[in-house]
Amino acid sequence: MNDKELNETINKYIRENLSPKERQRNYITQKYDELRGFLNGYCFQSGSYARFTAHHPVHDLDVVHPYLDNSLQDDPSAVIDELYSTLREGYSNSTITKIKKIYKQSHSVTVEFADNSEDFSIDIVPAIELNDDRNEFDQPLYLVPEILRLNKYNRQRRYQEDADNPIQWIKSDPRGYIKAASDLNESNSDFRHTAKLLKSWRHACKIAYGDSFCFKSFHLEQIIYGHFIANIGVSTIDASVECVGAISDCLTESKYLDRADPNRYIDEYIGDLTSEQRQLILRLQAEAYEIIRILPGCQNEQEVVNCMEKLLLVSKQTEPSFTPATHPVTPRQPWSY
Amino acid sequence: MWTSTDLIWLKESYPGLKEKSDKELEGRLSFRMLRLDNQYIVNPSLDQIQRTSVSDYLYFCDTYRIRIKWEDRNAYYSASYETGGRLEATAKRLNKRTIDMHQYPDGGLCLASPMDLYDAFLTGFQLPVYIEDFLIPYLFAQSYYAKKQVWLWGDLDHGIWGLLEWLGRRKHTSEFDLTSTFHFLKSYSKAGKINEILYTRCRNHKPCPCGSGKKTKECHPDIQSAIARLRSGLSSKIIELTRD
Repeated sequence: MNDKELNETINKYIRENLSPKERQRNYITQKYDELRGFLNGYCFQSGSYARFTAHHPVHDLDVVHPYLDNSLQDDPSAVIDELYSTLREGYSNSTITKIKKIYKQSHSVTVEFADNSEDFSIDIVPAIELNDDRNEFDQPLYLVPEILRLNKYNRQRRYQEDADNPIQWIKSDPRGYIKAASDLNESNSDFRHTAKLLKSWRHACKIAYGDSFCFKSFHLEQIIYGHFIANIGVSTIDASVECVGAISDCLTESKYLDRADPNRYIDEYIGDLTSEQRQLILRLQAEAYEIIRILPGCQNEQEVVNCMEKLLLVSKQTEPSFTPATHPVTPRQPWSY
Repeated sequence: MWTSTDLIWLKESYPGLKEKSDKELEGRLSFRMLRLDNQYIVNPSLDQIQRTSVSDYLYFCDTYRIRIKWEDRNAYYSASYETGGRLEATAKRLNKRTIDMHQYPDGGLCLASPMDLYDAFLTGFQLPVYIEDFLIPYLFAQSYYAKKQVWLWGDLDHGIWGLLEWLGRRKHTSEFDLTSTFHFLKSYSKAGKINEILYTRCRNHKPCPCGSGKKTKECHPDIQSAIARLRSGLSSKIIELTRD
């Protein structure tokens, strides 16, 4: 199997097993169209689904709901309250959708659906369009309520309990991230294949370790995006190995600037990781690297499938999953003539 | 050359690097390497990774495209090339010459001094030693250089001055070190040059014999001791031979 055939076999596995299924895409389209109706068309999809980097099964859809009224700027909570009321009314009158629950979080309103075999929710983020502040694609930036560094449960609790510490608006560039990812996908579709594969691995780690595994999906996607930008024409096979390898080097200092604000990094959270959280990421990364580096040596489709299944089968275990031939070395100084 | 046992080891340890012909290996070399408590470890265990804390470790998991080739039937070790263009891109980005990236003029990787390689493979070539003791640490140092523009454990100057630096930096020198350095000095210098170096007084505060115009201590501070070691350690008869 040459490199081209091997890469195509890997991409085929990703398309067939890790890409969102047509049935699910149709379901999401139906839910999104209904939501658009409730919001009078003032919304757009953002997040990984809009960037074509979401993997199967899709558990949530991020939607931005722009307000044009700048007078709302002072109080994100009031905007979230208003959005909550609008959606609650819309879904209570819906004849096609059955929802599990609808609730406010610190930065959004979340709707959980009850009519799908998989857990599925839509997160609607209110936003104020900044017409005078535009990205390099001449698209507007937005102000969105600050996403607190809390998990979903705590974000919900924070909204309910901490009224004395109001939520701030922060600048965001959701359209810029979508456009950048789309442009890259058009020039090299292996970007989305790699993103789906590695985000599926991250999801498997999250399932096995829950909130102890604190490596963010968007951070991983930006590592992959950066790798494809720096290595034009790189294939899924190389990018997968190299991006898993790069994770270990991305846990010591923030590297990825926020598109909307050059003073902020999207990976600032790594500075807050505890030693245990960082070491868990390093351990799972090392295990993944030992598996994924086998990929370039695969000789047939079955070996590719075995390698992928092993990568995505993350289990909580006390024993290490591999025993490397650890080798202490005395480095020699390089020379030349 | 490599044996069938070497190739079995290679498939298990570095599956991305494959046998292209009986004289050539080619593909991706993916490795993990860690510096912890001043020790360098290739393929660290999970226990070793778990002992790291943010401030005291250096850990790279990296992949290079590599070709390993036997060009000379009589060579005692093989030649390696980086074929993915990463070293070239780093050199271009940092405005460096190929030689400054420790590559030979033909692009071959200069993994270490010829004395180190000669010493390691004097009794026969071993592919695992070549890859894990020389090639991977060299690539690890290249990854670090690309990031920080510093050679992690230092480097040797080009040509014969680097050979003398190697000898001068050794804590203890054996007769083997002296004779092998002398042998390679002769191989890499023009006739008469070696005598000129050995018979000219080299002092730290005097101009460096390399001809840079700087004082030796500011240019090649290790070569004074190397020259002294060669002069006292090798019999004048051996040195005299180079006059011929």
